[in-house]
Amino acid sequence: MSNEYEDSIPGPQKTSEGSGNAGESAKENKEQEPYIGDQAAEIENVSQVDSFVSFDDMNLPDPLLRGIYAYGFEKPSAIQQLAIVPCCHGKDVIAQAQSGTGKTATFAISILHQIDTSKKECQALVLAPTRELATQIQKVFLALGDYMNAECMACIGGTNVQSNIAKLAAGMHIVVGTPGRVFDMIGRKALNTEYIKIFVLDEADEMLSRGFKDQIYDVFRQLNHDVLQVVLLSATMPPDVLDVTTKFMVNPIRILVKKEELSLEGIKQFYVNVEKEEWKFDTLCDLYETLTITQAVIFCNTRRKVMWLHESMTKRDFTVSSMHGDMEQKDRDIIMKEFRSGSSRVLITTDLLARGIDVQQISLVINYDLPSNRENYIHRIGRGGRFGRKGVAINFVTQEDIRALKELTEFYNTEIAEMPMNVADLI
Amino acid sequence: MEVDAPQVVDFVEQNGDVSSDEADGNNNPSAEGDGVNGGPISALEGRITRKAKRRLRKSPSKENPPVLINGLVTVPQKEKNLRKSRSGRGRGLPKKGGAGGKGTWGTPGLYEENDANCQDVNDPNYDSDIQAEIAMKTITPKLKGEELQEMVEPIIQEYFEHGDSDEVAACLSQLNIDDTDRHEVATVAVSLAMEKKDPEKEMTSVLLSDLYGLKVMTEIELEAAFQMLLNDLPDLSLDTPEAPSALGKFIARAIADDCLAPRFVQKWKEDVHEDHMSHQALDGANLLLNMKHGMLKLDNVWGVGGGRRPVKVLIKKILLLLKEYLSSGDIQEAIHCLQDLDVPHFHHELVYEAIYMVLEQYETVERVASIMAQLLKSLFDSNIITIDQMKTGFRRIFTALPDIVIDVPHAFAILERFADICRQQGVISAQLKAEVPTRVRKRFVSEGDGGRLKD
Repeated sequence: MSNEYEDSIPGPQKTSEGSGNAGESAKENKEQEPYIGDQAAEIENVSQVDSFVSFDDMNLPDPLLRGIYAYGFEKPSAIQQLAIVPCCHGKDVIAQAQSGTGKTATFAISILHQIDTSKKECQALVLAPTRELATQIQKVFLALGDYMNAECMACIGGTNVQSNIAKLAAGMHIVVGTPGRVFDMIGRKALNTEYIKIFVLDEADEMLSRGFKDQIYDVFRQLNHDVLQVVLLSATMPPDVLDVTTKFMVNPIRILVKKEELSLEGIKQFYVNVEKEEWKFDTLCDLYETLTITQAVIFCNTRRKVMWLHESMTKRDFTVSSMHGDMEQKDRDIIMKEFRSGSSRVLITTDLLARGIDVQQISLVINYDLPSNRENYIHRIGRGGRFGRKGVAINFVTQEDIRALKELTEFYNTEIAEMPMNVADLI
Repeated sequence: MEVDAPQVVDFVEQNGDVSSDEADGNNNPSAEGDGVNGGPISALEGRITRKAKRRLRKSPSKENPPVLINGLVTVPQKEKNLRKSRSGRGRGLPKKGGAGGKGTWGTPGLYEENDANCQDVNDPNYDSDIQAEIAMKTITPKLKGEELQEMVEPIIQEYFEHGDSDEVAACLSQLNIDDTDRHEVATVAVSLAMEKKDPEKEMTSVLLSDLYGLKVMTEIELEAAFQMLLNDLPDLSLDTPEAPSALGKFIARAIADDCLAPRFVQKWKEDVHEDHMSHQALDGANLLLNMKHGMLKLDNVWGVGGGRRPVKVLIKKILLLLKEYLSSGDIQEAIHCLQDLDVPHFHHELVYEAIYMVLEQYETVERVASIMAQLLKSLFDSNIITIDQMKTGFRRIFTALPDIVIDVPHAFAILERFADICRQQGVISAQLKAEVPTRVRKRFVSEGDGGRLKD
């Protein structure tokens, strides 16, 4: 079994070269499993994985489509274009792409497409590496399934164990949790695995590196294998993840998006030496005219600074909106909606929410503070190469920050030049 | 009597108690029967005088409120024929005193008096000087249990991004945390860190020690926090299989940072039943503490990765792991080390250093090219090094080559050979392979042909 798999591994590499050459973001590849020769039709079916550039073409039911658009999706991402339809057809799928490329929504949409909401049984089980991620996934399910009465529960431990059990007994269509927690629930007979037909392993590499190997296998053994569809999502494919795919999956379709979703290519990066922290504010005010040419995001390191900056800008009659992690999700959604629609043009926020902002028309990002974790820099100013939007990033640096700025250029092997006077022309 | 009836009906309607049909039939007789107070004579007198005076208004009678009998309103005899509103409301005309009605300012004196004491800040007449005796105080309700957790969680999550423990202390001081629950802050921080990677755990350890240093948290609270975590360990380890060893490291680090007394481990060990999971954690902590130079090593208990480490440190780590790989050939270990660094956008450095190593050692160590190609291949296949990082790494070498060649005369040729291997393995695209620079060598066709270059 594993040998057959190994044989089929080189496939994706060929495609990856293709993506490198042609600049395409994704290629698909079919996994051959020689011993299932009698399922030629099946193999034939999978040999052609189409790419769908719009959710409308995916043949999804109306309530689900409404949920998708209400959630704020406009166009499917690379992985969504390729993976949603095969997932919806009940195929085993390996989807490999960087995190933050819309993998969660991919399996969420296909699960919602397949479950029967009139049947009050758990039909889909999603394993995630952390509680935090499990709750995020649950929220996506709830939002996308808003118009189809799909019920989704996140198994979270702590004080809620009893209420979790009660909820599970009431019948949930979709259950999300960490492998350990889910297995615990199965052990307590709180979760009935009989009707589970879709089994998803999200961020499989992360789960295995957190030491969940045994628990994943334990859970898998409890499932009804006759009807089971397995979907595995992972950013990387180390050997232990490959191992899981060979053991759990039958004739899987492997979808690979090699290109990073975030890139600094095409983004002009500048710095302004403001020398002192106190002078940042005046610099920002001077730049305000420039900011509002299109739309801009300003990043601060802490939410107190976000609030302070919002207040100070408002006092000077500049129109800005702000968003930070302390806010209720509802308020955040409203602010994001305003920003997306263009009714607010300047948004102040922190790193915590940097990953959630994928507004295509932002062409200017200002780092009021340099990110203290360099990995956050690309999340702030990088953008999908797919959209090919050009952008400008301006970093405010004080005398003490200059070293950090230099390290940033080394870290990303990129250039950050001093801001020219005509920066407005570049936006 | 013909005049009376509609009036009564009117009254009843205003009260809304009975429909007009019933009122017509019942009210008149009952009113006459009830007229004990006035009697027929007084009623007659009243009617005459009132008619003569043509008084328009009369304050609603207080001495004779409408009486309810069997749910019906009865009117005292003497008021029966009055043409006043009996609803208790007047016609909205001004009163003698100047109060009421349209266009009056109300009884003089009334509002001035009130205004003096007005305590509403939004009232235009509010005068803060008069309020001397009343001191307004904003009370933030004491935070407990789940509410507290909800407030603290975003603070900690944010800390993982900005790494400023003073900021956390400032945020915490704004909260009014119940004294009995102060340890919850540490509990929340550690359990959130359990879900994260080593760099975040390191930050949490730093945070605990800083909060202790800033006197936001006392030793007793820290102790309580760790006790709680030890108790919760079976539950924590459901979501984080490595929770016991991680918690052991947290405890050991806290002891090394002097915010927890070393006796904590022993004391707690005696208290709990032997089968309890917390023993794993405590044994781990004990081991770390009793190692030789344990206290020093504990500073690096969470490793030295993460995007906030100086770039130099990261480069050093990458060089180290490459050297180690070169001698051991253990790809798994190399991958593991690289992932522990937790800097996916810095992986181009590994590519760069790996190639650089090949260039430098190609002539002395034979296998170096194939070994490094193997590493790059498996890192690329598993997508740990993305296509963009690979490209960046190679391109950095390309630009640095004119400089490298000074020290390594054969660099161009070696790079070409190495690129060939990588191309065969599928690590780099044909396009990238084509970009490999070739040395512009000046070869003359022959001596004496005027320095013409060979095509």
